[in-house]
Amino acid sequence: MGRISTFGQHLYEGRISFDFVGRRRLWYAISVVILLAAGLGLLTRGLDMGIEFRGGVEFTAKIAPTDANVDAMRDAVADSGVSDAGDPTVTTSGQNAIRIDTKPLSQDEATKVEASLRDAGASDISQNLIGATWGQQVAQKAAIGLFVFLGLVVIFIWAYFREWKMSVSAIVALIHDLVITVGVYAWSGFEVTPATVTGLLTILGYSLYDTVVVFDKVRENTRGFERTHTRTYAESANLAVNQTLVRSINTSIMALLPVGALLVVGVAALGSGPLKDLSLALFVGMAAGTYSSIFIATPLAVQLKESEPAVREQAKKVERRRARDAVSAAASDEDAKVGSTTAPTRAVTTSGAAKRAQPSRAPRSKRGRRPK
Amino acid sequence: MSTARRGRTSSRKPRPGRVLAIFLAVIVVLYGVVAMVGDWKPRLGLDLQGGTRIALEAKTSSGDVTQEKLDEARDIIDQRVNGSGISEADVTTQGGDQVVIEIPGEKQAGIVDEVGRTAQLRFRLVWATSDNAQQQPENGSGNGSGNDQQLPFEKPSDEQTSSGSDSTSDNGKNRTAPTDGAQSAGAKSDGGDDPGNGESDDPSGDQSSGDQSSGDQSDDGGDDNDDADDSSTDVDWTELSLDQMISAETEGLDALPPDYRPAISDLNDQLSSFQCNDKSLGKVDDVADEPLVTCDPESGETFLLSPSVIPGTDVSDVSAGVPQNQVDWVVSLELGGDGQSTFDQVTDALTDQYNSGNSAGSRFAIVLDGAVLSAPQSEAHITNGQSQISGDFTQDSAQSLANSLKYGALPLTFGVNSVSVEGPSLAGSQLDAGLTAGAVGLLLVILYSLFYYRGLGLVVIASLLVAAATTYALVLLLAASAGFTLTLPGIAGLIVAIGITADSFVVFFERLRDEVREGRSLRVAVERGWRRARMTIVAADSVSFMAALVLYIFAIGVVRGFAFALGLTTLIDVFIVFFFTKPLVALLARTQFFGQGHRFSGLDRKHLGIHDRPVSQMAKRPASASAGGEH
Repeated sequence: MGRISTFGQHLYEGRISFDFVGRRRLWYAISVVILLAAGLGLLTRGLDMGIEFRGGVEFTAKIAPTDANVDAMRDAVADSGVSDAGDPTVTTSGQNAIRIDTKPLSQDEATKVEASLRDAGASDISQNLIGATWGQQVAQKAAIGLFVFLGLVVIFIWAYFREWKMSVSAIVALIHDLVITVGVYAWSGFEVTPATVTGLLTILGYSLYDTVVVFDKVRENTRGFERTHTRTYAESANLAVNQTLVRSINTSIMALLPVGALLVVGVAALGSGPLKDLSLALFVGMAAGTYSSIFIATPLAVQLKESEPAVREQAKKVERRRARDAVSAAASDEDAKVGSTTAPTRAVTTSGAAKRAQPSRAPRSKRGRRPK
Repeated sequence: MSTARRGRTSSRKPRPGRVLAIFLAVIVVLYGVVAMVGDWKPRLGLDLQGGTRIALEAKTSSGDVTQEKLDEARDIIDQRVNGSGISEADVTTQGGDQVVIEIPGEKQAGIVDEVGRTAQLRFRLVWATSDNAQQQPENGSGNGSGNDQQLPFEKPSDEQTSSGSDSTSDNGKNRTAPTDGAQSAGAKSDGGDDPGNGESDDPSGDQSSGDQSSGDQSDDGGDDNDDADDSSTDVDWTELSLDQMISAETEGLDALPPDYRPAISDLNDQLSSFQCNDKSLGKVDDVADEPLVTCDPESGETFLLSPSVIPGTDVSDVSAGVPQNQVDWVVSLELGGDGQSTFDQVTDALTDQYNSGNSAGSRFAIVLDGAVLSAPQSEAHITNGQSQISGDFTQDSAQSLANSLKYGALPLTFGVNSVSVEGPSLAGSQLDAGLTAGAVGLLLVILYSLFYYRGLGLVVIASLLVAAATTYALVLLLAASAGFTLTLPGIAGLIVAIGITADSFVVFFERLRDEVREGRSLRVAVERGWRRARMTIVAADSVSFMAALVLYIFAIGVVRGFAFALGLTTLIDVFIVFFFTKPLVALLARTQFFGQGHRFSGLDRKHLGIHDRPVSQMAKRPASASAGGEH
């Protein structure tokens, strides 16, 4: 525990620094591989759409889920005299229930099947009759919701950060998280239900929440960057990510703990249903959301920002200054390594880093003193 | 103290104790209100208590589904469901095109057919009536003055006339008149056919014309009225022309072609045995092209009605009001489309009957969902489709009739989207699972925050508990005021929110630690850290809230509960962190335990890993000096 805090202190001072921004090509490559895998899963395996999307009737019968009982339930459906109900999917659900999915039935037919199940020994039968268009609607509304949300996000981030580049990066990170989550569903073969869709939409909020917190720190660290000669924009942004790393880890753990509890309890006690579907999507999405705000959103925002002349100008200034310092100090032959891409790690890990960090913190302390 | 004062102007000096006291007072008040409202248990959704949930989706034949139309549909479905004897049914609109019916408790899947039907408003001709509401079904036709028009075909139809006055007083509750209010009772008297003379076989040669009721085929497969079914399969009622139907009314049922007689005779039997109660009305199968035996549930009068002559969709406008220079309430009705010309034809013939004294032969009936809403006499020939129904209306009854007529005109039809029936024990185990998950999730977060934040972890715990208490109070209040029900996804939303709520604290604490790392005293660090954290918290929570809102608006079904819970807890989170967590930390910063960085406070220098000399004044703080010396 203490070590995590110490770690936090080192990160804060820049004594330990992970080069999130500088090595962006590596992170992009990793993400691209993951995204391709997700896409491949989607193409080859597809999504197992739940009964809500196919239409049909789902019965949940309270009966010990033994093989014999599963067969008995299957036979009961066959014996119900409802021809459309033939060949149902019978699965166990949790510790004391069996789930039977049939094709779409009318209410009368469903009632007949239910009576037949009851005769075969099932008690307390839940029945869920879903029209064929229900799932389409869910999907359609979710799609509309998605676009509305994305639109709002762009506007919100732009309004808050005054920076469309951050909006774009946040959106890219969002989509990244969504695709990964969908990919996990494709590969794992978990059923996609309306609860899953809700989970997906919730991920949007979470992923963005995380990104906003990191961006907030980036903005703080890079405010007035034109006037500093100690760190490039990219380095300041990288320091921000490092400084919020402990928070990101803590947040993820604290968010994932309850969701994990939901997932475990949902699966253990109920077997299937909205709890499982929701929490699984959330679990994957939240993890991806934390990853993407660190490894994708910030590097991308920096990359977009680096196309601005002011940023490039300042980076050159920093470089020149470093070169000058190096020459005058004639400290070591390591100076040769201070290239534009490897610079961040070197710069912040030198022993002088803590002192050099002071100027960039000055604006903050100034702000703090302002009310005086 | 001095440092705190230095940092801020006196007017903005934080008073954490006061803020905290006010906040806790607000919570006490919240619970006071809950105590007054009365219920300490949240309303559980059907998935948690068992019951039937039916989602209907509106399908339009014309135009878009508007919220107004949907609300009207909701009202009539509500009437239907609650009219069928189910108590506590909850009918709501959702997502712009859904009507959701939730019926707690026992299985009610049978209700699906009932509620899914289109509101079927139809105009039919009154072929026969029988006021046997108080009679035994066996009493039949031979008995009593009430059976005015329920006649065997052999009888001479002048008996209709003799009993005509009778029916007027008993049953002729409502009358129609042109909108201009001019009573044309006398105006038409010259043209009146004698209703007594039986030109019974005349109209049979008349082939069915285009005037035939344009009522759409009703395709619902409700419970069939056995007799009606048997008889109606014998003859094809759709072959009947409007003229034939009218003459069956104005001249007696034997004016119908001979083929129809057995069916009519069956229907007459049904009429005599029809009991006007909710149960029998519920079984009435209102098929547009067939005659209908039903009753007016208010007056108890039973009717044998012709096939539909005008569908409710032809009603273009309805309003209730008191016409100028009059004192009584009337319902104004405007027909459009084919209905207008049909009404012209119908009122022409029926008004003749009225003027010649056959008031029973001058009635038509407006039927909604198989029940007679109103059976007025036609007192004027209405050519422009604009008429008024007058009678013993009160404001309420006129308004209610007008509403019903409007609903009938509603062009919304519904398809069954989903029906779920949740057994009580499965529902119970869902609730248990949800609560268990919540408890476990909360416990894990508490353990982690204690592990990581030590003393500050207590603040996290206190804040989470206060947040939980606030959430619970609001859930109770929303249940009482807005009918909020807690569903399984709702509980999931609350659980997920634990993490998101805790995150605000993490953001604040990390900022706080950053300040301590820079060597500031805790008291200063709290204020500075807070100022830097709060914008982040507000921005991040805004995003969360936005997501929840979008989700709520675009979600279908029970998952809305999830979005609602998420949105609610996000708001609560902001309040908690502003008015509870921050003041609490500010207060604690004054204590020795936290302020001087006790080993377990979570803010001690060693724990934070501060080994260097801090940037600023260590000399001021002996405790930190010793802590710094430890390494």
